[in-house]
Amino acid sequence: MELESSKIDWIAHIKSEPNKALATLYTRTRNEAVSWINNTFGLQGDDAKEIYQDAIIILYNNVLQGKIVSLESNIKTYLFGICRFRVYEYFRDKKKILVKDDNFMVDIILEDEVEYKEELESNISQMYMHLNTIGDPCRSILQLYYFEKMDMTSIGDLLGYKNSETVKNLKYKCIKRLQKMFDLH
Amino acid sequence: MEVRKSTIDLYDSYIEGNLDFQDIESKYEDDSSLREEIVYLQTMEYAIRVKGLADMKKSLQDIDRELETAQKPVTEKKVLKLSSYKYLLVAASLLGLLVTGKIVKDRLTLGSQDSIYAQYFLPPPPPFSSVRSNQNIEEDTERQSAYRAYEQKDYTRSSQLLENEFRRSGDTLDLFYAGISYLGVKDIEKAKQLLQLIKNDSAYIAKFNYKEFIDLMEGQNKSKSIK
Repeated sequence: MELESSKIDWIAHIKSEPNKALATLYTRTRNEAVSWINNTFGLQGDDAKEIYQDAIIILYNNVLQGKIVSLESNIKTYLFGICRFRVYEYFRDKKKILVKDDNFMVDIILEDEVEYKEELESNISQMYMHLNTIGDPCRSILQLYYFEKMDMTSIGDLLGYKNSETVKNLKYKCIKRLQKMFDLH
Repeated sequence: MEVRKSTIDLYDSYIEGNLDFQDIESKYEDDSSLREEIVYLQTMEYAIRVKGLADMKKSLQDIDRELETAQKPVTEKKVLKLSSYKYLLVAASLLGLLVTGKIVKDRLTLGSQDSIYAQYFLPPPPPFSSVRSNQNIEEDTERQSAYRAYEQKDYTRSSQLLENEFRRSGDTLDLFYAGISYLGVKDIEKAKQLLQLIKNDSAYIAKFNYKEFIDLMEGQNKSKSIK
């Protein structure tokens, strides 16, 4: 398969250019993966696609969280392994999985949490709503720092701020603003 | 509750890997307000991550829609053929006996070939590592030039260079992109010769539905879908 022969370091690529890397990976593998899910598990159409998209998202989260730093196998084997697990979840709890909202993302993020899970889920939903309305530069700064794990200097370079201290101060103001929105809700 | 700057700094130390979460927990054991602030920041971090993943999934769904549109040329071909038919009627009535049906058909085929090319030639992006590899080995530089020409849509150049690369490397990846480059210069026969060699490789077919594109360019209606 071409993915192996091209010898791309997908983990490094996802870390450095996540949007481009995942778009390329998805475009290159999607048809084969969806066919494989169809043929192996008998899942059709949207369900198969949904499972494969979720597998890519899980890969992305694992890279960002440092859960995988290199691949023992190739990327296709890794992704297909995640698909197998998602299909297992699909058959186990068909109602919960594949609902087209962001519950699945919350599940991924909270998978290691055991305490106060319900309360957390409710607060995350509220906060998520405010993140959709907070606008830039707050949204970008918070997302680059807490999601993509970029350092302040790199964020400053990317968004055109003169130094990391400026970004840090802005981030502080953004957190305060978000908190205000959250408290008013 | 107001989140203090010092608490944000503390939490960021954890985010940056300078502290374990247990270190933070030990600090708020006897400080309920600190605990409340940390829980708030943690919730915020989780929500930001949920949003990041949700945005990425939306991007994948957008790509999906684009891919599906690109892979449905057969349906649209019917529309094309219908418009060609209308054009045939108009042309025939205008030219009357001066033009034979065969000449009209040939001209229409040529015209629709350009139209099909413009609408359906959606070459896949070049393989990332081949374009951006920084190794200074001479043969790699030639390979990079080939894929760079392809990336810049200079298909006249990339078809030659990639065919040479294929001869040198025997790599079907080079063969595939050489074939696509020949499609880029509308040399269908040459493209067919090259792509014929990898006709059974489903990964390449998935990458670009070139068989269907060739059929369209040749005015054939036999292809239904290639998956």
